[in-house]
Amino acid sequence: MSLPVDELKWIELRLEAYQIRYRSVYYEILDHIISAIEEKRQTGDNRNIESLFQQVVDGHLGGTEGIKKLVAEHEEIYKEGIKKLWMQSLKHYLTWQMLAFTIVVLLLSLKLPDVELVRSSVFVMCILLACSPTVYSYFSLRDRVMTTMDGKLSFFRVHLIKKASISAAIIFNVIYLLSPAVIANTPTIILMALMMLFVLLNLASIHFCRQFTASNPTNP
Amino acid sequence: MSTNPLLKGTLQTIILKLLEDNAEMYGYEITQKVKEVTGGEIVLTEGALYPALHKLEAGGLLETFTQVVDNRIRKYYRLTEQGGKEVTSKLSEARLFIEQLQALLNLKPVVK
Repeated sequence: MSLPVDELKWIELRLEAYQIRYRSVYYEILDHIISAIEEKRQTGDNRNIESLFQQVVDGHLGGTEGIKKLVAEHEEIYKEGIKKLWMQSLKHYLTWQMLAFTIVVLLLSLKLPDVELVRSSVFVMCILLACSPTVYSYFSLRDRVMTTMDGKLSFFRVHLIKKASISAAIIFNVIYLLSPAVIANTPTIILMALMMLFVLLNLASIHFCRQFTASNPTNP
Repeated sequence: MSTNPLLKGTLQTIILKLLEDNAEMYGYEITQKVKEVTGGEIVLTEGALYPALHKLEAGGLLETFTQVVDNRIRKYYRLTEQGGKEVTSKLSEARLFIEQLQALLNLKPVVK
């Protein structure tokens, strides 16, 4: 038994007061409430829409607190999923082959002249490598967002980009904490080790974004 | 009618099994199905059902799609390939657990 249009509008307006952050959760709760009220009406419960709405929200969903908890748990579940995927991506490249390649690169770097030009070049490469995952994730995850009711950049996408931006955070901390003189005098081999760390994080970020895109073909 | 705390550990198994039997379902439909099958003895609380559904979805065991029904958006859940495989193992786990409980508590099946 479908509800009349004015009652449906009333439910939608009333539910907005609960400030449910995510569109998918809002629509799921809205459908649940309407379905429950429709069934009550079908079984002969002719109380007004206000009473039925409140009974369903309090009885089925645990009232305001219950709805808040649902939204928070929804965020937490996706956050956990992102964390798990990031760790899997990192482990994917933490291999003996990667370690052997790093050792070869570091040994080869010993052959490089330890002059300022080389050190500066390696450091610039570190900066580029450290920033590229942020740019890559920003564009590759553009359509994979958890849409908020107000259409703003979602918590979900920010969280994904944050995971891919670990290397950018490292390099900015290095720049912030160390003086330019210290960086300029850092031995090339240490800068090369830093660069290899960024290579690893870059590969993990690309794997992370691709895996996420593959497992989430539509907006969550 | 009760929201049985013993259900907590088997909620995911119940959801997966229902979706195996019914191909695709929405949240409210799942609660109603459980109520119907158990003659109203077990009522799933939505505060437990939706997080469980979202967890299964995030874990890749369920996938969702939406349909417009009576001018509103309805989110349907269905098993993924991985979810289909998981049902068998979850059911075996549940069966084993029930057998162990029967042995431990000396329970005899109720004859109706």
